[in-house]
Amino acid sequence: MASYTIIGAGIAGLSLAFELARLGFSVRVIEHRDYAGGINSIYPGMGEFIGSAVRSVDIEYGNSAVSINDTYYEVWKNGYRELDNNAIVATGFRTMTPPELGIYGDRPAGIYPFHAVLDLLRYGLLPGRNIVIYGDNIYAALLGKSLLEKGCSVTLVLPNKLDLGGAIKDVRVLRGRVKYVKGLGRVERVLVNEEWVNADTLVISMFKPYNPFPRLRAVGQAVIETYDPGIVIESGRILAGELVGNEHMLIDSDVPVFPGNRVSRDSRRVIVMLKGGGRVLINDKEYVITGDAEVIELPDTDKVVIRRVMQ
Amino acid sequence: MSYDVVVIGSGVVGLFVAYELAQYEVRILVIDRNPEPGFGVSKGHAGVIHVVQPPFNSLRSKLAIEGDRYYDNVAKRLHVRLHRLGALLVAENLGHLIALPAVWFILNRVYGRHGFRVRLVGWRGLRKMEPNVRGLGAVYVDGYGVINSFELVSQLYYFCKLNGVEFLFNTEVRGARVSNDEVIVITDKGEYKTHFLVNAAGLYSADVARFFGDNYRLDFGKGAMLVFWGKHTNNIVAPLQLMPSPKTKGGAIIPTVFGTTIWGPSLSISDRCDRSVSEDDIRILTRKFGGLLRFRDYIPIRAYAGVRPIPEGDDFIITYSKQSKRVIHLVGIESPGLTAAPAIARRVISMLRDAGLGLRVKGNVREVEPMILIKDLIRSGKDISDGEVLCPCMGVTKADIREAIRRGAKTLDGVIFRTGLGMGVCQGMCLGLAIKVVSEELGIKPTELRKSGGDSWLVIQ
Repeated sequence: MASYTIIGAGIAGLSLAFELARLGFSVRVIEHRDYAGGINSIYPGMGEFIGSAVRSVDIEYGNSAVSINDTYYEVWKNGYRELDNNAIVATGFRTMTPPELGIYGDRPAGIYPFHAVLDLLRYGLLPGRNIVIYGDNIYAALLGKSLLEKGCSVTLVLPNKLDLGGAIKDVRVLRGRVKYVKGLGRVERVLVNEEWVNADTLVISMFKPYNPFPRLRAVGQAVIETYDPGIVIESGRILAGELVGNEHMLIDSDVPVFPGNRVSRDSRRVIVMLKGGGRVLINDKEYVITGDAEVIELPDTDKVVIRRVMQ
Repeated sequence: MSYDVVVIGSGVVGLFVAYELAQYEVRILVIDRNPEPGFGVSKGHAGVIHVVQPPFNSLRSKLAIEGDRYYDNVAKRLHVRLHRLGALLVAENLGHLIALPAVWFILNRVYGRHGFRVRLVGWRGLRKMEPNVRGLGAVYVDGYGVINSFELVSQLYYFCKLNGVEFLFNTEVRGARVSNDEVIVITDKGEYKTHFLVNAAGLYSADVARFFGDNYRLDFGKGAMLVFWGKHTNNIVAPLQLMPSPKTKGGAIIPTVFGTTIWGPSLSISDRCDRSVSEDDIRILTRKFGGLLRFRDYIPIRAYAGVRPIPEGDDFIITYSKQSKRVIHLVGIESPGLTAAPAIARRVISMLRDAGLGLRVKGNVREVEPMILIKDLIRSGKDISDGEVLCPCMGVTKADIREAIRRGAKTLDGVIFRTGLGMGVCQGMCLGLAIKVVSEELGIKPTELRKSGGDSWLVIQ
């Protein structure tokens, strides 16, 4: 029987591990950091899921997956081994880079990707006092809230409309784009639209799915652009079904679908990805996708056709 | 305190001078205003070992050819990664294609006699050499190289340290004077006496020259570069430019030793402290290089700029001070300074000898061992310890941080330059953990750690 190594103990990796273990497979999770949950560790209500998963699956903290000359390894304190195709990527989003986001200017100390700040908070450290967070998602707002509670002054810059549902009182919110950073040693000012904001820190909280190990299968925010933890958890369950199921149905889709063009007959669920939402036809029945992705129950047919409905 | 030679500046040029001098029984002091070596001009170039350097009769063109020749031995002796490759000047349109044979003819006449191979590449040949490059044809020049310039600086520094060269960092030279058979260097940390002085102060070389009554005018040129995750080409690729305009002069698509790709540098006039990159810089780079590639859906991970000193006459100035032969100025060492540096250093040694410095070969020169990272051990199937990975993108571990610190890193950038930490696609998602571990290994509080000295603080409590 196959034995799986899951790279990353975020909620996708934990969900997949939990499900595989429940189905009787041998599974271990390796986690680069010294805590589980990844960026969803600050998501309200996720503590319980993470806590119970951590108690029931085998996690090795401090073990990392690394690509060296295009060979994938698991590396730990005193050893390493090559990863085979039974390793699954659950490494989550990557933070977008300044040039990708059109942020120019100087490169002083104080420009941090989201994940770095999350770790700093864990170690009882703060990235600065006067912080601009640039992000279009709930995680940006949640981090802002945490930093505010530690006594930082926080400005959240939203490039797009975002319903924060009152999650972040007292955080100053600006609509617009971060365009330029000034500062020789340390960040001094950040240009938002045409306005200079005094700040000593810029936290970049714009994300993209990213699979660092493209030959391996991936799950969760490493492949699905969703900001809904429920969908991330579900992707773990769907992939588990797909890995162990013996009867599969084929999917022909013109929009990206997780887990791909094959899904197990038992789970019969896929995640349809449509950034910004929209409508799709599945075997002639119309479905509405809200958010950027949605879990959809498929009809019980041999072949499924998914087509985007153009507005 | 008295030295035989004081070198001002621990950039790649100053370090090469110290490295050459360290082969002899000479007491050497290197002074630098920055907290670590190579934090000035040397911090901001693209790591290319050049061949073609118009105008062909310039000093910098000559020294680049000479320096290029030295690099294989230097890289071998210091264990620095150097990849040899060629450069392709690509004809993008019919006009350029027609001009190609003339370009070939000229370059072959100039560089062919120095042993560099120059040849014409047709459409088919170009496609075969560079499947990702669009173009009708190209001129190929061999003998180029890309080097890990951070490793070069680090290994030069380490070699110098091992062989008794003294270093004073965070030290600013405030003045200097020649009296009888001595040069007195006045710094914010005190005065130092020396028999000879080498001014390798880069962006500040004209200021240091002025202490001796020697006047040079420097302009400052900024070169912006855009770094991508992944490899675009096998060789250095640039569009053929028959009439280069100052704004779009120079630069190329450069496959680095790190497996990333650099587009650039562009060149614009700036001031000494300005290392900013503007949207306009990126637009110029994209316009110039974007069209050369078939597939270009790569992730841009970093934009940075270097500042170079451009002297009057646009050529290296390597000369004795008018006041005394005890002082040698290296002014306006701009591109291709990295390529020329070993040749400049040899020239300086012979100038020092001519000026009366006695050079007796040292009997027991110590060689540096290579900087072996954990990923090198894994690649060759060896055992590892302290392999806790801090930066998964670049495969940097705790042991690598320790090694970087052992070799002199004092700041986060010092660690980053020696290990590649945080230089990957995620641009520092690991920094939280890295700041904790680097400060632990340095034996300081995280709040005391600096990115690159000065007020570049990283965290607060």
